[in-house]
Amino acid sequence: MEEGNFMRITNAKVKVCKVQVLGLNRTKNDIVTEQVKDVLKSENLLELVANSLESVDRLKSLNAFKEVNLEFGACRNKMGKIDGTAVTFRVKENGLIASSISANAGTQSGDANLSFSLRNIFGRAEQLKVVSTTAFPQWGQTIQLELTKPYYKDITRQFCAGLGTTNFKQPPCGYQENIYEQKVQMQCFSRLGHHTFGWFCDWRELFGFDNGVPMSIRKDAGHSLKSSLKHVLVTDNRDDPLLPSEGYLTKLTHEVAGLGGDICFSKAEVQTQMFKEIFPEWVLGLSFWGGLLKPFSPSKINDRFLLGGSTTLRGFEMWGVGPHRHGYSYGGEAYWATGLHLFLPLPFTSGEFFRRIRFHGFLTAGNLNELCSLSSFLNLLKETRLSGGFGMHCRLGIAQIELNYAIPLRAQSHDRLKPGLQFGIGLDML
Amino acid sequence: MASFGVGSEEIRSKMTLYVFTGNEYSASVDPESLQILTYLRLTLQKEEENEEIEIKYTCKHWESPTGVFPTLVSDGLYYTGVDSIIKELKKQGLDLDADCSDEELAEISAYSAFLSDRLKKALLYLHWVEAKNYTEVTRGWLSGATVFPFTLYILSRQHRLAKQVIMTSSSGNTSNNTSTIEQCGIELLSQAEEAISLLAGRLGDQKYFYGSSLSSFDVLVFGYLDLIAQYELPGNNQLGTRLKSLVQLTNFCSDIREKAYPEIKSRHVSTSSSMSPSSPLRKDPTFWIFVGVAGILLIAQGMRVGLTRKLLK
Amino acid sequence: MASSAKPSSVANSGASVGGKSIAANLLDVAIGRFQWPQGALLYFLPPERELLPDRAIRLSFQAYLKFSGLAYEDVCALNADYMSPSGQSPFLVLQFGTRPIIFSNFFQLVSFIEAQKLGLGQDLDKKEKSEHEAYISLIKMSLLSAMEYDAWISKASRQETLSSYSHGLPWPLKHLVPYSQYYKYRWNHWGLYKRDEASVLSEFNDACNALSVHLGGSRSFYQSGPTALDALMCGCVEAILNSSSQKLKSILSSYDNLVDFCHSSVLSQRKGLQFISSPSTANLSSNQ
Repeated sequence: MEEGNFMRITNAKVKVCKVQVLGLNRTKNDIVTEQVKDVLKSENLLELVANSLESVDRLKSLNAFKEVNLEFGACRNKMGKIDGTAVTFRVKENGLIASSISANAGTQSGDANLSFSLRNIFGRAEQLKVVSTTAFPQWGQTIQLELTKPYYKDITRQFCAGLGTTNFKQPPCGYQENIYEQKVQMQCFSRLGHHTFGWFCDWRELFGFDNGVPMSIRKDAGHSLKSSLKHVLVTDNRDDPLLPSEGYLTKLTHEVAGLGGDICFSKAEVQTQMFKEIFPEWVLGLSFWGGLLKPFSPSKINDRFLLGGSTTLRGFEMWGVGPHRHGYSYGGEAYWATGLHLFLPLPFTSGEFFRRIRFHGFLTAGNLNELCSLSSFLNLLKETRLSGGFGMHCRLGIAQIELNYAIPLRAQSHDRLKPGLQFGIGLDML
Repeated sequence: MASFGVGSEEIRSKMTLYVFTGNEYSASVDPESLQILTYLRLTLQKEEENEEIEIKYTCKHWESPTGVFPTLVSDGLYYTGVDSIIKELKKQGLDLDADCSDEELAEISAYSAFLSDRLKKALLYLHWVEAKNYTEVTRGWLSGATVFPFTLYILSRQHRLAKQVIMTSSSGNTSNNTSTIEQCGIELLSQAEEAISLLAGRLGDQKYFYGSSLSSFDVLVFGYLDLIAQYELPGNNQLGTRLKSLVQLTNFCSDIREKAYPEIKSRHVSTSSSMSPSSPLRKDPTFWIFVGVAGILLIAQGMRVGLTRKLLK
Repeated sequence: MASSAKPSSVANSGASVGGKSIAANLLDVAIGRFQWPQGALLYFLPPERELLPDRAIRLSFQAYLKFSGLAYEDVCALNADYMSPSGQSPFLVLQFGTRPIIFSNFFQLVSFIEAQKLGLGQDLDKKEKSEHEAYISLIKMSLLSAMEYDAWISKASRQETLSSYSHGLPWPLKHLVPYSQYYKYRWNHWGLYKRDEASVLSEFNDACNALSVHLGGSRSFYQSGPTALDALMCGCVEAILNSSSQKLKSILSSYDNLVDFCHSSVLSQRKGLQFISSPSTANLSSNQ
């Protein structure tokens, strides 16, 4: 009986005769209309509620409103008779200016983040953002200016243009680099996942080599211009982006450089992660990374792949795997790396915060090599590096922090090892 | 002192000299200003000094027409740099090197470059960059010469300029921060130490660099060494101890000091010298302008927040 | 200028590391034994990229190494200035075992080599030694800074300097890099930038005069043979005489003995003649 009542109510015919959004000030009508127009199409109560709630989400994702409240009311015609339902969205707009400061700190590295953004500048969910990041001790500084704008009034499709300057030190390779970058990119969704197409133009300057850096690395010094087209496809069907227990994430990157500029190469990279809950809250994670670089002119050290360190192959120094020249990482044109993690929850704790901190045990393996012949390709498999260990894993926002005890199990003589405690922080971790 | 007679016969135009302030232990704490002052003392007779040349002691760079010290104004022309000032003084008849041969004059100009290459930067580092010396000694020099807001401004400006000079002159890749200012300082100090030893070798057992008569060579060397000898720096005192171990050079310094500045006590100053309490505060018009501007700003701010209106009610 | 120097084994006559701290900082040479390594390389910019002061220092490097009979090879690289630790061309790479030691500063190289007793200034007495250093400082402070002023700041050759930086760069960088280099230079050398040309030139003239007087009519500054000062002077004079800078050239060419000195020492370098000054360098150059 109850069930029947419920069905009857949800299936009840509804006529939406009015949708209004109150509280708009700077935001233009057309973009808001686009987000809420589906509500008008609702035919029964269930659809009305679902569509309204989706519209609330879409309005919120414009990043233009602090609050979105939903109200249903009766709609009367001129005679004063109830004619249909009126849906009212009461919104409060965000202020134009937003700023934030954040900092991450660790034993080896840390960074401070200062961001300043202008939201919804022209009333159509455009955003202008300036981010300044300082990493210390003396490792680098980044300033970026980015303008994003949704196109076709659809929030999932975004157009983005940016300018930025980065200068950082790369002590494992003994150089400093200044980068001035420009980018224009489009983002959209397809059945495969989230696509980003873009043109990237980087003016790079390599300089400030340490006194001991050998000539084979030094020869790449000076200015170069990389102008490239890049496509990134991210497919994500994990159940939780922060603490996944099921599903997989794949990131495919293709980059072709050589549209103007003096750098010509083609680069492909894959990063994939899989998660499986084997016992309640015991999560097994498997990840695989691989990359291939095909240079059409002699490749430069800042284009080649580097491997090793607390975010990739644990138990090695930063970029400590693969070809070296006199103790400085030289980088390679092909690499692969895989990691197997078992995440366990902290015992005797509860609450949202402690859920983010987990024990983990891991095994990582991989190799990096130059590609000069077929044998060097085979060496990629033959000379596999292996390391294992355990530690704590913590998820803070999009960043991951790890404190591990790691031991390299297999290595080559020229690799730089770092057995023992290792601290790592990063966005993507193997 | 051979040139006394020569100078007094000519008719000279009135000259003005802007030098960095000194204290009771040295006529100026800037080595180049000290060189010029010493040069004048040794060429001019005491009573002549005020008639021939007007000397302005100041530490405010905006009071010097070129913004640097020392600056000589003669016939409406500005001369900066020790070499060109001495050249101009020689033209005006104040010649200390009248007896020198061409070869000796060439040597003097070489040593002048040598001193400013090796010792000037090292002293800039010791006085204006090295943290302990900077806070304990250099600050004291200025606090007697000017008042609070200017002290801070001049100190930080000099500090910045000194850092820039040191960084650009060092051999490391300093424009890209691969070597720090301390590393540059260590390099400069070891070069300066070597230079002092070389000077001692050059002087040998002689009284002055050219035997028994004074030349501008002696004045140039004195300008640097006296500043090193007079102040015992609390931080890095590497050059001071090196100089102390070279008896001949120390005697040379004190001999010239007695000759040129009989009124100045020869004593080591350990920390910030106790300055004469005669505060120049009230005499300084710029101070009152500063106070006025600050007051106006304060009142304007008060009016903006409506404080004055409330008070008037 | 192609070098005719071949790698040669260098005999060591009981040289010891001197008390020079610069040398000690640079290199942990086993005390008591220092050998000039084989395959020393001198990197410098190609002529179209080389500025006047860089060329002067490069020629001085070459002259000094040849006078001392130390073997090296020339390497011309378009990005030599970025490869150098000091950001300036030229630089000398000595390969000791696996680690290279790099000298990007002429004065540092000289003091290092003199400390190893391989150099040319071994026969100078105390007075001459300090005089030698003084004249080197004079060249550094007056001649080299006049050349820098001429290359970067004087209006006549600024355009040439800027265009030299555009060599070998892709399109937009061709126009951006020269200006970024120019403003960087200006920022770092504000003191020099603020000076007026007349005072720089008169200082240059005074320095030339002093050097000319010091040299007199002889073929080297000191009786015992060529020294680092001769090498530096020769490099500077040769660079200025072959440069496009009319002002410096006209001042310098009025000092005949400096010009003659430069020609004769360039000739002696070409012929591969060694000025053998001391027994320690005599066996160094024996197999050249």
